[in-house]
Amino acid sequence: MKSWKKRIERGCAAGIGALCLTVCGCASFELTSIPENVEIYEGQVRLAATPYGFEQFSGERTFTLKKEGYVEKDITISSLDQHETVVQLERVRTTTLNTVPTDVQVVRTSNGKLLGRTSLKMPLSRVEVVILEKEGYKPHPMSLEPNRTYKVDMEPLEGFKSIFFTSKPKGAFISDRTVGDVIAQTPSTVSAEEGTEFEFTMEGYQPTYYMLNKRSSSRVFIELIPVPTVTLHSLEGSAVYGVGGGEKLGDVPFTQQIKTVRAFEVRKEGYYPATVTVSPESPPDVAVELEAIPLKTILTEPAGAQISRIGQREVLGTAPLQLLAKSERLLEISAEGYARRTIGIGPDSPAQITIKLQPLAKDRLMLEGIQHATITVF
Amino acid sequence: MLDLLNREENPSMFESFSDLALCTLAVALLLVALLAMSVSQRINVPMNENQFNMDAAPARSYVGCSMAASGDAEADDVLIHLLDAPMVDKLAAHQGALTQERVVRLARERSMPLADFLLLAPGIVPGVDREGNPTLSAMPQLWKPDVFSTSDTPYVLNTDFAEQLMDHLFYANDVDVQTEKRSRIYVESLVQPTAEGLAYYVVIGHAAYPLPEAIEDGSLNWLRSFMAGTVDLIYLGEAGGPDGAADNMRLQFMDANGYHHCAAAYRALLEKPHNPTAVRSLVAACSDGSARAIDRNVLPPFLAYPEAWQAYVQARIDAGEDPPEWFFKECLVKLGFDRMVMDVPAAAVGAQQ
Repeated sequence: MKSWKKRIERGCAAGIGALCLTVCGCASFELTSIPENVEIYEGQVRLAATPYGFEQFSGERTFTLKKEGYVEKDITISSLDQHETVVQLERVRTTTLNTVPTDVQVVRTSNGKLLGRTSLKMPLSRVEVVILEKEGYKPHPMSLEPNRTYKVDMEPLEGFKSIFFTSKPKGAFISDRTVGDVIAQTPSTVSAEEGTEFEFTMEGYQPTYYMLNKRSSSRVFIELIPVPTVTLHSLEGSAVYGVGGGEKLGDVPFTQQIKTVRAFEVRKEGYYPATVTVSPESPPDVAVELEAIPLKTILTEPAGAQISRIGQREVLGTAPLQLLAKSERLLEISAEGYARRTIGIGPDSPAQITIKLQPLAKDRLMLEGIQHATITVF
Repeated sequence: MLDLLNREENPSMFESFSDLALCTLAVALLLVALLAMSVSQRINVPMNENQFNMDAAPARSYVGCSMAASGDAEADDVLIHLLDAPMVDKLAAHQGALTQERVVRLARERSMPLADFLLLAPGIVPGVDREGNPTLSAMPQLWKPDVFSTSDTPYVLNTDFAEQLMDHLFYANDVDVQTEKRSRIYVESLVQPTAEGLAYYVVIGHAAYPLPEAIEDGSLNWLRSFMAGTVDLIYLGEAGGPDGAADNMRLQFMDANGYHHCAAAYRALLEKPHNPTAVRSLVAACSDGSARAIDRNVLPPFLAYPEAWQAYVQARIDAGEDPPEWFFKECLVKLGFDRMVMDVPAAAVGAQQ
């Protein structure tokens, strides 16, 4: 009997000892991470940084591991779990959100903050609960997890129709013709009510219109027609002016987009100005011929006579002199000792005009007599 | 009785017609009376019995001067020409384009020796035409014709000399130039006894023209032709009487009013009428451009002493002496100055000014 008591006593002692060892040894946990030095939060309370040792005898604890540049991670450790836990944090990469159609607003649900418009790429370190919003479509709530790519097909509202517009060339602005605001740029999916008229505009192209109706296809191709450009060619150095005394527009070759019928005047010194009218149907290159103003050479006999405008108000030069005969004009030719002459020159005058000056004649005062009066001085 | 009442109540047509005619006659008479008053007012402009003209618009004349080509400056070697200004202006305007010579004939009476012109000059006061230009001025430099004469002496035109001469001769009289429209020529009558009887003269400045000889031989034609529309002849009165110097109204006035220097110079002129040296000196002075500083002695007395002459003229005008009948017949009528000048009423003068 004594031996059984001893055995029981020895057994109990050994059991208690083993239990104590077991209890004392099993309560210590250690949380480590890759990378190290990750901050550990429990709820909103920052506890420490990894590696982190703690005692847990029962139940479970949830920690949040945070580190700049890494995706946050929640981990729950139970007292029954292994005493050493290694957590590997994923680096923050890009979270991509694509929608059909594009240009959808991505709004954070918690505070209503606009995160961006699709297609959207952003770095997320934690899960974002967002709502996707676009006019003509039903709001679409979703959670965005970091480092993932999403593609969401937006569901049109009742009575709306979603059409994918593409154009040639791409990049045309789509706007509601009634409202005027730019909605999107091609290629893009647009949801709108039937009867909506869209305007497609692009620099250098003529505006194109499309009206949404019941028979509209879900894909619409818009071919934009370039605005016609006309290039005016003429003699080098010619300038292009607006007709009717407009200001100078440029020098030839002069390229201009022609949306409506327009008239230009091409001018060059020594040439008659030429008026040219172009329209969207005109060929892309228009040659403007300029007619030279006739150049007249005025010679005098004797040479060196002064040539001036009538009345000698403006001296043009001395002969021989070349003058442009744009229109009929009067010139006065004068030389010392010679009779002044007035001549008219014009476009039809010969190219070389010789003016012979006659020696200046003098008047004669003929005294028919001298009256010697019968006078007595008084 | 009943008939009478009926007649009164219904006056006959003839009775009302006579009333109407009577009324019309009265109105017509009233209108005629008013018209007559107006006409009499219009023609009741006082006539100036001492002032005569040929009733023509004022015209401008140029005074040109020709000198002997030899450079002599004797009295007969310097000629004064009187030319129509508009004609000369037109000729000058086209002179620069002249390829064929133009001949301008100048009538005999429009050229006179300088000596004669100097004697006349005191009696001439240039006027102003409607454009404000003097009716008598030196010929412009622009027109320089060659001068041809029937005499043996070749002449050349000297516009510089004419300019200087005009500046000097008429500067003393230019007081009136701004206020007068027509030129004025002061004339006096003179009767001198001779062996054959009485001799009649018209006196202008220092020049006494015998009548009717001066009109018959053309001595006064300059006045009849060139001055025709330009002048008013103003009769000053009798210049003298039968006793010669004793009756000389001019001398009497100068002596009585203290113009002794002028009187002395005038007496000297009467004693020595022809003074070639004086003319030569005047020509020399005008030719060197110093006409303003000229010696008085080379000028006729009434040009040398213009104050005395002006005072005399004013006194004679104030006296208002009427011209004698012979002067009318022998001078004014024959020259064509047979119209008295109407004195414009003072109110009208004020309005014009």
